[in-house]
Amino acid sequence: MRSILESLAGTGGSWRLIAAILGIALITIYLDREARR
Amino acid sequence: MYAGHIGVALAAKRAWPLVPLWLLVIASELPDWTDAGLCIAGVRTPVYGMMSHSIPAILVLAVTAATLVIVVERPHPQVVRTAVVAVALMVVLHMVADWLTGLKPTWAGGPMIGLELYRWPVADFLLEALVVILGWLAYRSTLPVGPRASRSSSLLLASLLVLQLAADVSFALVPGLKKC
Repeated sequence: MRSILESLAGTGGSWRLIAAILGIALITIYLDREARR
Repeated sequence: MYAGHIGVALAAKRAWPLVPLWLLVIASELPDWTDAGLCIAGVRTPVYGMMSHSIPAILVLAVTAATLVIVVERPHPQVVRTAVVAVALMVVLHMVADWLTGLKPTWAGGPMIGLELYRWPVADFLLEALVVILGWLAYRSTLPVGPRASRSSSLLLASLLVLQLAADVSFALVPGLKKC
């Protein structure tokens, strides 16, 4: 687990950031749409 | 701050119910999107975050976001005025929220400010969970009565808390985890 996180913290750091903020945004928007249907 | 930004966007939905949630969410994350873009483009500044989280950068991003909203929401003139204020405020609140959890530049040559709660993941989780829960409660009141207790609504709160927990576990396992 630690080694995976450390490798992600390397050159893939920006992609990790994008995955984190895109993921949380998409989940929020999708579940809001579902709740309003 | 991570999920806490979404909590702020959810609370803003209560304040400005006509403004689409997706717009509030994107605006609440805009400085982090800017960070990601700069990272991928290979743009480095001597002080990390100067072009995305400093006060001048936030003001530029807030004006840019407000301008884009005028274009995007042009077909909905009744929404534009409130949306402009809402997205600009979302960007500014991102900076303020990050002062609690991180250490951010103020301006070129200026001091770094922030409580750096990320160094204490348990405290960070408690704060961000509180913001998420309060934001979700405010957001839930914008839903019609039936869907307020729906699976999707509950799942939204649970997802945000789980993602925040995952982030804080990462901070605990790998102290000093860099964004870029």
